[in-house]
Amino acid sequence: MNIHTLQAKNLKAGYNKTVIIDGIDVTIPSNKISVIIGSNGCGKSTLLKNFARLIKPFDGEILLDGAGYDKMHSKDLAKIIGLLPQSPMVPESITVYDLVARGRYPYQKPFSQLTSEDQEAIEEAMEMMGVSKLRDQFVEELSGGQRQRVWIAMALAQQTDILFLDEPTTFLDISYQVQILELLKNLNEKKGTTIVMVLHDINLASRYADCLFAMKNGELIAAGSPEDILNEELMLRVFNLECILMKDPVSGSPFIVPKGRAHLRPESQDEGKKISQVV
Amino acid sequence: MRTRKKKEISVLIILFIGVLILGFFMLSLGESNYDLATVVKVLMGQEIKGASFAVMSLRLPKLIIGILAGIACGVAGNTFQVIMKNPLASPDVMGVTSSAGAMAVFAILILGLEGVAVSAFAIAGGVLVAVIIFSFARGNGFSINKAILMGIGIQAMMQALITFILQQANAYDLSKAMHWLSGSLNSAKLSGAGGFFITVLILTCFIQYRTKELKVLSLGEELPVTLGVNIDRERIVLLMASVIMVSVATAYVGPLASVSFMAGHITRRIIKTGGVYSLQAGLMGAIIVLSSELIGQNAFAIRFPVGVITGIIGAPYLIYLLLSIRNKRG
Repeated sequence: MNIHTLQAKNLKAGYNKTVIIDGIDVTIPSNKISVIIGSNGCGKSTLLKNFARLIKPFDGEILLDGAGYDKMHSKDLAKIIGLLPQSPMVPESITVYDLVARGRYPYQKPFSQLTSEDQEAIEEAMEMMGVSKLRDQFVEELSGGQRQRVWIAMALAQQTDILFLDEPTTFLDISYQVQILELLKNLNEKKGTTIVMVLHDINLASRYADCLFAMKNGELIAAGSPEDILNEELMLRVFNLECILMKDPVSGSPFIVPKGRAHLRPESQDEGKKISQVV
Repeated sequence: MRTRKKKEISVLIILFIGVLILGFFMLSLGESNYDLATVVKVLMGQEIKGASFAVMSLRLPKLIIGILAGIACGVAGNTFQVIMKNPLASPDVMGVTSSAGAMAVFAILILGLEGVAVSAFAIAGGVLVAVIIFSFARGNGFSINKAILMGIGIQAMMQALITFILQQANAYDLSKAMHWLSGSLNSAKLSGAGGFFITVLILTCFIQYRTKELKVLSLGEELPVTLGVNIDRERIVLLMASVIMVSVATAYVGPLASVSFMAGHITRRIIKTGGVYSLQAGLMGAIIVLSSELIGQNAFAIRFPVGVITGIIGAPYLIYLLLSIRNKRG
């Protein structure tokens, strides 16, 4: 596993001339799991898409090992940086094996068959995601959690050192969410893959992230380990939400409990009044 | 893995045999029917009174042009559908075929051109419509549905334009009119078909050579980029190759309805390994054209040009397709 440095310098980006991110500097920690959090429309996906080269920055630059993406051949870049989009498209009647095999595209030459190296990478990726037994099934017939594991396996077959995932748990129930994050953690520990993902569940983010990036209105509000940055104040600033900070009884990581007014117990009535004033 | 590869190859072989069998019937059936031995003898160069002329001068050109047109439509339609991930997105549904036809009939009947110049006009027509559709459908990120709807509109317009040109040119010859309204093999000639053959050969090989890129392009808008495909360039090149192929075919046989729409879709439904299958789709196109021609020429008291039959088959297939899409969502 190679160590790569990936950073955004004074990045300005958005869609169709609408600026969403207006000049931020981010350095992705190598061989760690980073999670980007923030409210809807804060620019998390935009940032991810810039790093994954799906959109080009308006200004500023993204540097991989100190050089811009346009300096590199796109197939070579595809061997270093991979992405699992939010809702990738499943081709009609494709089997698990064939879909995972598509991750080998950057390594293939025209007309050549899958090499033994390709086949090993595919087997290993399916094994890691626990989908080896599903290899001959049609992807469209799998459950949501299985399908997501197949997609991650495809991204793993690409054997990139850096992997971006755009909300990999969003459409999954809680047991699958935990399962996916466990698998990603395992991948990071075993292979040292740098993982960067957008997550909505703050407590799962807190548990699995080595580094959190908190964004609001296209700006980076805070960056650091969950222990260092995740607290009531950050939640108020980023999500405009009153919370109580607790400790995750399982992992010991910061645990956020939102307040809201409807369920306040008598002993927290005073807190409730404060909230109604804020709201 | 191996069984899937086997399936793709065995379907290819079966389709090839299908083309051979239909090819024999194309040469055998007609005003007078000849048996296999006679057909083979004539093909070997033996001079048989009556048969030689009918087979070599009338039926063989139809057969060869029909195969070429079928392959062109099948490969091009399949490429369109794979790239746009929608079975409705084929050159005939989207007006590329009709537009090539309109330009070809304009070149022939109004300008009095023939040969390569007609193909050039047809290509210009096809490319022009493709460029219009895709540049308008871009706007706020590329919308395939927008492109398809716009194509359907253009298709109707171009069909009207063909009728208009036929009237302006006083084309009272019914067979000529039918040729440009729905496509037919009746005026197929081998002289001058060399360019057609070379175009289909080169572009089919090129598209087959890009199979891996096509497979990646079918993964949506984002993954192809991160897998290292230059998505814009690859799409444009492959779509243009398809447009040129279908336009040249249209210059020779007129706007064949539904062939490019059905061939790829049927092929993918049969093989079902999530692949691209350009060659199989091409042979499927040839099978659709040849069997429609055989039905049109032999099944009824009146002879119908091939395009009428493909159109008649295409309509229920479209309905079936729409129903099956709805069932999947529901």
